[in-house]
Amino acid sequence: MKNFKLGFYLDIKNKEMLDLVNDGEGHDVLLSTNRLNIEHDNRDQRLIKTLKEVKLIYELEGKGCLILLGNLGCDFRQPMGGMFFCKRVYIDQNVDYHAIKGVEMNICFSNYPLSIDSTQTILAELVTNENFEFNLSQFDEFMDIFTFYKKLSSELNNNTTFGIRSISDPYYYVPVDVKDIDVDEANQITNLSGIVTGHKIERYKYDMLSSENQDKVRKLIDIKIEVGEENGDADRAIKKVKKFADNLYLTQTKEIDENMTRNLVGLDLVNIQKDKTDVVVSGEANLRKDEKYNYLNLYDMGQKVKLESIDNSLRLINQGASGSACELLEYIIGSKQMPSNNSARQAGDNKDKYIENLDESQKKAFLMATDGSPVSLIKGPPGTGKTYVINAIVQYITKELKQKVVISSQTHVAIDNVLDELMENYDLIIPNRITNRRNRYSGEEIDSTLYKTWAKKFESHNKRAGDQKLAEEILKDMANFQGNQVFRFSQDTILADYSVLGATTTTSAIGGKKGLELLEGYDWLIIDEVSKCPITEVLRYLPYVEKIIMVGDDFQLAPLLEFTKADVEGLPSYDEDKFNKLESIYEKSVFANTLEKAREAGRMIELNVNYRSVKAVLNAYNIFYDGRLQNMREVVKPTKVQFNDFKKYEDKDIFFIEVKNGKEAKDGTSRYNIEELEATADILKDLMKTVENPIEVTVSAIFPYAAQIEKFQKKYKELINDAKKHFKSFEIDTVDAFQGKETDIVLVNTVVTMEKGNFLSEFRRINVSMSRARDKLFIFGNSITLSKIEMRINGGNKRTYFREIIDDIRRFGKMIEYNGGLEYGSNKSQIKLKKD
Amino acid sequence: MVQINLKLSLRKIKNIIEVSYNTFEKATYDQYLMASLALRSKDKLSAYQYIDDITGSGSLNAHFKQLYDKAHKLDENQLKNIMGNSMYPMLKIDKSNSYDYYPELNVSVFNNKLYEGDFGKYEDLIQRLYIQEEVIESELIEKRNNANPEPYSVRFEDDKILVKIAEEWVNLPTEIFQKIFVNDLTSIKKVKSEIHNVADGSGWYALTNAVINNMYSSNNYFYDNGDLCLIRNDDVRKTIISQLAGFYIYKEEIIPYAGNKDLCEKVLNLLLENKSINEFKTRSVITLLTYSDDLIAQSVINYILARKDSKELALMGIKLLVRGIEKNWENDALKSFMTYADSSKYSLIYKANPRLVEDIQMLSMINPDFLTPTHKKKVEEYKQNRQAIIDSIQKMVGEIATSGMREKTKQLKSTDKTRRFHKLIQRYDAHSKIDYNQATLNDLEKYSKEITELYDLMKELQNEIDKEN
Repeated sequence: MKNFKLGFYLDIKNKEMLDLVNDGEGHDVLLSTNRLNIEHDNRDQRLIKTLKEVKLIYELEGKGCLILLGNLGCDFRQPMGGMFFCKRVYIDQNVDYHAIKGVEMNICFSNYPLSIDSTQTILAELVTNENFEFNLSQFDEFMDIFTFYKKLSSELNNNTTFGIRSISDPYYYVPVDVKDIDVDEANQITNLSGIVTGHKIERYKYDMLSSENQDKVRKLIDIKIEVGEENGDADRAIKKVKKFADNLYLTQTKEIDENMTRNLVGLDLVNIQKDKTDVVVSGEANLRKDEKYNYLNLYDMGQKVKLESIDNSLRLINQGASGSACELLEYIIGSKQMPSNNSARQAGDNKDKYIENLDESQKKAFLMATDGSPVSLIKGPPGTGKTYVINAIVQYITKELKQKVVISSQTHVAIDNVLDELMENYDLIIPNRITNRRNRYSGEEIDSTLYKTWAKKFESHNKRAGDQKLAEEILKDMANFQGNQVFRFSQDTILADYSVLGATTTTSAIGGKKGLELLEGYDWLIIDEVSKCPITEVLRYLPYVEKIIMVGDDFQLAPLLEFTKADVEGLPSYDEDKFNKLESIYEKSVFANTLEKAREAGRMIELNVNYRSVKAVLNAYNIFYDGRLQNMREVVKPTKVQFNDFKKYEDKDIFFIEVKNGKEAKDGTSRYNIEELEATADILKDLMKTVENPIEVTVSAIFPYAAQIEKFQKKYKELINDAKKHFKSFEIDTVDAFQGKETDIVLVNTVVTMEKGNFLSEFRRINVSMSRARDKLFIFGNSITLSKIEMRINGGNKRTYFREIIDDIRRFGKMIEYNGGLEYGSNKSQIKLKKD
Repeated sequence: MVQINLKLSLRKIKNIIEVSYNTFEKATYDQYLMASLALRSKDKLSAYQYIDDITGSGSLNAHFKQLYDKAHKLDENQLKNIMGNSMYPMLKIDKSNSYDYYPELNVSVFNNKLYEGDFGKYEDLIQRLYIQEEVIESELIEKRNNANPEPYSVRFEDDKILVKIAEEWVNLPTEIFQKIFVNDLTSIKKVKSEIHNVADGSGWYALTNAVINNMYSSNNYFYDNGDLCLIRNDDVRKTIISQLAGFYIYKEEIIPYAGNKDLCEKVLNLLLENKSINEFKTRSVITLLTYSDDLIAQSVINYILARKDSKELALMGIKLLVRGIEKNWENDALKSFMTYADSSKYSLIYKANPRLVEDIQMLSMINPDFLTPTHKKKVEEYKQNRQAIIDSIQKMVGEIATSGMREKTKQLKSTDKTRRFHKLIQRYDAHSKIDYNQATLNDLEKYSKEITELYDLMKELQNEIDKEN
């Protein structure tokens, strides 16, 4: 530690605070700066006269730090020597002195300061010390843009409240995809387009169901809301509720604020219906007994809490108060090279059992992520087993390293998928799931989830026992069990006992100081589908962990800003330059940004074995990965969907339906193509006729535009309802809603017949659409138009990927011409269509 | 019988009754499994080995071992019973019952009911708690034991003192009462009001130093039947003090002013006497005046308006004037009336004192029959002057309007005169709607000066035109 005697200028009001340090005594101080700003000595430019914006950080007794911000340098007036010109002084209670990155010194403010020469030597040493600068030159600009984003968000204030007219008694609801429960057609429930979403069943029928089937049934309530003048008519109310589907809360009071976050009752929206002029919102909610719910709040609590939480994290980082977060951030978005502990990247005894079932690329990813380095990126193209690798890593961290992990993602589904894997085996890891919604891993739900997972497989776990005689006796006893079908886990377990915590990057359940206490003691952060997360969300949990593993695929959908230019243009804080900057920062996924850096530092592994799609389907999207993905699907699952007419669809797996005379039309900013819809409907009808064992087959139709979905639902309501009943599942949605899902058969509409100004040129959408298919992929469109669409991948050359895909289909799949009807010729690779 | 609310330092002990008893709960799956393990495994080591085998190093390992350790403490019969009926024995520790014990009275309160003696020491305590299960142990835990002063209702009946505990009256021996009722009444010497010896009914409180200090907080009080009545803004507060069983008690009566003529007059006279009526809120004074005799009201208004200005009181005075109280008004009061009265009341005020009004404008608004001869003459002259000015203005205005000079000047070369003419004629246009009846003499003179200048200019310009032609 260096002793540094400095002269002291006082030009600020808060004298008392300065008296603490200006007492003629030496004090231990940490020195740091957010950005190196050097003023050189005019007499000799090699020497430093002043370092600007330097922080002197003093540890306070009890909690927090005293921070002096100002210029550190030389004063050439009498008595000549070292000087600190203090501009601002403040106390931060939330900072842990020992977690701050900075250079240690012992500083005494004195009238007999250090000589100019010695001061300059110390200044020179300071700038070369790697702990001095928080090496993130972009950070201030980033803070600025974030502040702008926060302002816009609060000005946009989309919050709305609907009074509740009535809440129905809970009833049992069988979603339409659940086929093994007998339902009464008369009790069907439809959505606004008339599409059947599920059926009501009576209580006595529910009681008769097996516990496995009972789990598939949801307990819903119908909430009739008031759509008065305040909220516009019913249609406007419906639009609002749909837009806020992820942010619906039932409350007693009209206004809600962040202090209520922990007690909010979230509503998991299942359906919206119109009952004459009333709007009925149906969903699942954990209503508390004896509490009256008066309002349905469409409250962007998630956004609000998220922003505050991010703001808090940024503040900690900005103050240099979170040592590891500063470093992580420097590695992720700064210019600092990511460290890589290659020597530790090898399998050993304690790692072997976790990697024995992984493929080569998964093994590499595992070994990289667990080599002790702070940042790891795993690129997981579709179907390459990301969840599988994450599971292995989490098992290793919690069981061998005995450390704790936060698992996060933008969507509940992605987190629950990972947690499902953790809960899969006999040696399961029990997570603590933080959410305002009902979730099988949160609170007391875990007790019944353990029964449904571990206990159901007890017989198999029991076989692992070394003492088989004992195991047999216990098995006999267990046959007599007539107690509560739950575990006694949650009441015997405290928060600190959990080693895995699952929370979305946008959750409203972690807010304020209390919320953040939850994250204490967690060493690792794993973010799944990170390519969909804007940087702000990644930063949210960063100050609380030591290591981060990002898993995603920059070739799949990127983040989207919650609002468009049109939404915010009229707001007081709007500024076009800043908006453009915000859009570019926000919509550039942190994963894509960091990928190159990670690759150079050897911190990125791409998983390259695809277990999802059959070869021909994989080929269609493998083109985006330059053919790097190896096809392994047929090895792990050789059987495919079967057809009763071999010639039609069974011998090939990928089809292009050339829609003759199809015309793209505009509907506002959206588009549709009627002829393509007809072709899609005809193929769907044909699939319903020809697929064998349809009750085991999942089908989906993916549309690039909302208008296309709307028209399809309107025109083919009956067909859709039939398909939902006929197949194991039949889903229709946009590309964005499908990321993370997969089905056996996928029908992809392209809609466009004009080459310019469509968003098909975004290769990520095409990649996601096609990679959802396991067995059969049908692409509808105009081959001439599509072949001309140019796409560019990450600054590479423009390529007409569709041309290559269609050429491939010509060779390995089937081209089908559609001209108002289907007729199949004898040629195996070419089906002819009858012209009207 | 008298009932008093007072603070007593009665000792109160809060006891929690902690009862441990054995009961059964439906076993959970993991409890049952570990009970089976405890029954079937030969020792802890092999049991732990079994848990390791079936849970690995997963989260259930520690959880199962914890449950096993509990099950391991049960005997074979208990374990067999669990296997048979899936009911798991539990030691339940119930801390939900508590009661208060008053040692000085030897009574207890449990669930808002009064019990003789220490409830926790009842032999049939467990039955009284409705615990059916086999109790292992019960223990009293003292949670609080103090004698902080707290308010109680106390009843004095003949020679008995009773205190209300849990809605029941409990005998409070006098010696205990004297011990626990501590009241250091040093201010009692201040009390000049009568101290009664009789007290009855409820609403009585123990007299304290603070009450006495408050009674004498101002000089504005009087005694009514020996009881002190403190004058307040909206009412009078009567404090009746009585002595009972060697200590002092008091009761308050509030007597509002509204509708009580005698009280209002008494209070007004007292305030005047004490010269403190000025400190009283005007609104309260008005209330007092409203219910008092008009002559008393007049004297109060005279008094106050001589010392401060008050619109409300002035208006009140004018009302009295209208009602016929015309004499004995002080000049200050009348001046104040003139300030706030509307012109219809000027004549009445003038009648009360003609020397007060000198303003000719005001005089001109007073009924000429009331005016003194001098004032009458002055007013007539004034009116004539006004009329003369009005006539002259109207004549000049008529000539200017018919002269067509505005148009004619447009043909003339622009000079200082034509410019001045235009300026004045524009000003005249703007002021042309003057109301002659409302305008003061001053206004009329000023206006006349302007019109005369305009008129002269018109004449000069006409001369110039005539000359040119």
